[in-house]
Amino acid sequence: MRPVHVAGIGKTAFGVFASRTLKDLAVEAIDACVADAGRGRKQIEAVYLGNFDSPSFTSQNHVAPYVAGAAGLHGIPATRFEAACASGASALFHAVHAVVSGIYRDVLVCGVEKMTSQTTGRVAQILAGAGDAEFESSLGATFPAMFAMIARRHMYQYGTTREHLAAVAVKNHLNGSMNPQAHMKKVITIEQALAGRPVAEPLTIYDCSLVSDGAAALWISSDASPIRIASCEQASGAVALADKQDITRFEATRIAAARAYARAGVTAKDIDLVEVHDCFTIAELVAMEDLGFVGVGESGPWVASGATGLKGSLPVNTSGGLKAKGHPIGATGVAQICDLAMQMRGLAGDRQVERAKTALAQNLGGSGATSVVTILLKD
Amino acid sequence: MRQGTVYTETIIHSAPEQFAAEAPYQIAVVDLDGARLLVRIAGARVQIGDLVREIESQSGYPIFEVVS
Repeated sequence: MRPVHVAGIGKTAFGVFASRTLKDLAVEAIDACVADAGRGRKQIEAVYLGNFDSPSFTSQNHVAPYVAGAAGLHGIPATRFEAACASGASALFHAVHAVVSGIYRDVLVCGVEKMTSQTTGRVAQILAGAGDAEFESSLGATFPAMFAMIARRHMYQYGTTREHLAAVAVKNHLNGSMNPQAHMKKVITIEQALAGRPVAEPLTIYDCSLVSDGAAALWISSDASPIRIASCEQASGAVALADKQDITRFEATRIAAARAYARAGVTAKDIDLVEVHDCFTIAELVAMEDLGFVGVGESGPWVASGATGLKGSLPVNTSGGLKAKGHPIGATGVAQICDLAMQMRGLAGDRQVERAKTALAQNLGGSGATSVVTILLKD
Repeated sequence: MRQGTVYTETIIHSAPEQFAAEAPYQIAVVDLDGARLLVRIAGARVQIGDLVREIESQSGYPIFEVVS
């Protein structure tokens, strides 16, 4: 098994970019990544692209060679990976395999989504396509509704409150306000979060991540560099919410985390900072429990205590998370690694945390049907 | 018709395009005898633990209402 290192990172800003195309967003991220790696792009042997649904968002299929060609990566294999909101990390998971096995030395992982040319109703419809078409989207269920039902059950079983959910939003908005590449740089208060327009009760607009355009890229290599991908593990769970035994936990995250910790030779206690998939505020709370940072049902009071703030014992989503940084779906899992690498290099500016040697990213697809957990170590 | 208990629920305000005219509407996951089903709720709003029963539906998906 060969080691895998992060040789380069590159990201576009996330936001609503009416004049930008899928292609030019991806090329900007790839160019930035190649420049960061400081090596010629001719050394890249394959492209792994995370993209959820360009066919629906922009009527563009066959996206991987479309993007690779535009970025001057000709002739090499270029393949698209789709795992709903975990598409980006799923592309990374498969790319890591190719490098670990020795098939390739240098691989480019890119994630991209161009979402904002569609209406909100159409976006909801496209996103609902990641659920069960026969039993969920057919009766008008949406993704916010799935996570709203998870929140309701978490509140019922463990006493989690609306204030606990709002604490996640307030923290991530504060972090995002210090991230020059974030979609939303607006600081909000608990009162504002609680008074937001309802989307799917008990979730308001402030509990939901953003619909964004954006791209991110990573150059991974078996050649030595300071940040090593110690493990990257993907696991699956039921697609339909009604097929899960306990909806207050994601089995896929628990399986991926157990494997990732074991392979990296670390435990939850060793992790210095985290980027998790806060597609909805409740998802960040559930992730804290699934990743083993707190016990079952304890995440609400823990997060509300400030433990996961920039100065807390475990900073979570210092980028602003999906909530404030934005969530261009296919880009998200790749961007999480870029954001952790920025912290590990000491380049996170006002958001810089003190300890950043061991970092973890978690990227979730659908209502937990795919989860990818990645652990980075600074040698 | 089937009968069960509400396991979880939500009221959807922001709906996909083709359901927008019906919003707000409630959906629920219902524990039936040995199975779990996502359904639409008709009539009065329900909460976790409420007893609900299926009513006739021409819509292609299951619809339940609270048993009062």
